[in-house]
Amino acid sequence: MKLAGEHIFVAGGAVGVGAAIVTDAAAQGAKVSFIDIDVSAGEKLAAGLSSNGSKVAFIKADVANFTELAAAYKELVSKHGDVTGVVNNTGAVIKADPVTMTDKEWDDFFAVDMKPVWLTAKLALPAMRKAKKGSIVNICSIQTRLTHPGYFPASASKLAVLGLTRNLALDEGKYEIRVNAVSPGYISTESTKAFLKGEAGGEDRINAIQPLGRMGMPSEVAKVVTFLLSDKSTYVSGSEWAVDGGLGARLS
Amino acid sequence: MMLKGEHLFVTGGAAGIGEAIILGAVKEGAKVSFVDIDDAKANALVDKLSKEGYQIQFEHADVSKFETFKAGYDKLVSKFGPVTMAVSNAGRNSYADAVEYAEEEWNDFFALDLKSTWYLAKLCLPEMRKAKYGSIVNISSIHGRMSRPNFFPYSAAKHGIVGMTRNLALDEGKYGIRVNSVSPGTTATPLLKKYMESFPDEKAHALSVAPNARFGSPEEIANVILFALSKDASFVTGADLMVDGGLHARYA
Repeated sequence: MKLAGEHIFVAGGAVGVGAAIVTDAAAQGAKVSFIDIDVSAGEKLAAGLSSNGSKVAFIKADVANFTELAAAYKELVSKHGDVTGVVNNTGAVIKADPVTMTDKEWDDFFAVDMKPVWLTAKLALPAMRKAKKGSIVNICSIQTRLTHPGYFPASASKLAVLGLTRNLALDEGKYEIRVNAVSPGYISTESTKAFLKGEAGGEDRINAIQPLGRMGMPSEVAKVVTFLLSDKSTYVSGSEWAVDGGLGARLS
Repeated sequence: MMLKGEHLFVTGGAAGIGEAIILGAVKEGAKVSFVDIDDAKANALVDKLSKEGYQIQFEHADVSKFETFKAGYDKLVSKFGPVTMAVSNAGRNSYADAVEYAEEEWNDFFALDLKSTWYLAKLCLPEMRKAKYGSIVNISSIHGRMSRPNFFPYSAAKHGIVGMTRNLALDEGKYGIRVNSVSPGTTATPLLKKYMESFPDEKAHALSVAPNARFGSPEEIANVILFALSKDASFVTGADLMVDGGLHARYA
């Protein structure tokens, strides 16, 4: 029970890696709050975990709308107390051409993929500074270091999240608040599977380049995230830990 | 009991981070074998932990010389069985002027700080490949990524460990063997104490640039190493896990 006594807030917790993080944090003894725009998946996950005796609360909120995010955050704090750990897991898949991409598409993407790291920090830091304790984990991607043709805003956003992670780590270290990034490679989520269905033999192609011969499971990312949220990682800050089965070590 | 049923082998286990790894690993249920050149400290550690009921054994071995390393390793395996997890931790500092440095010193230093990491892989991989299971952690340093003036040739050895780790991860992934490096920042070990005594100005500087204004403890580093070894890190391979309180996010 490495998260007993903690209150973990997850942005984007209804499905995939986010749901695995919510599930593992609850299993490790934390009270968990999460937001998402997928109401039915969010409510179902919260109900399932609550029926097993975990303290899990869900509210629908869009991280792109600060007023909505702040209201949801306030309500979740009133329910579970001050947040001691934050996970930023919201994001979007984007494939774009720099000429045809519109200004609105750019803004909409960065509003869910990058800016929430600041917005949740803005909400969570005051109580963490007062407590002189806190841990923030930002879900990045293998795209912080390597990319693929056609994803130019995605790489920019992920590296920006890493930059935010580093600076927040330096700025908040004096309060013993730790800020880290976790960068998954290919993880076998519903959205990854749907994405690969668009390509004949896509899943086989991806598995073939994996050093471990397989994609990762959402729970395998979640285990690293809950470790970084816990008191087992008290000297880890400003770090980016890859959870990619070794893919990031490989030239294509 | 994260390491129940495992046989962990550690190089340089008598003091500092190595000792902290052992103290943590036995509590997590592992049998532990280690080599070192400091017999007095090593035997004291074995006595203490044996009395507490843990399975622990030591052989004297200089890991920079393959034949003596192998002799110690084989003896330990004959008692506790095949090694399932290994940590390459032995090493020392070397700070030299590139012009004045002698070739013999270079060879001695790299044999210990870099080549012994290969030797360990050479010794433990055959059984791991057979078992299709294994986890290796190589201790690098923040100097595996960046450096400070007057650290020649320490950085070269530590960068080398990160590179070797990546390649071993790619090569051994098909056997289900994971290979990662852990890179500590400024850690309060006997090695650091000795260094700070030789360079008194460095201590004040190191504390002034530490984002949380303190050094890491050996236990804080060991916690990350034990996590990387364990099944909780099953999709982590080829990664370099920084444990430096955020220091590497900062310039100057």
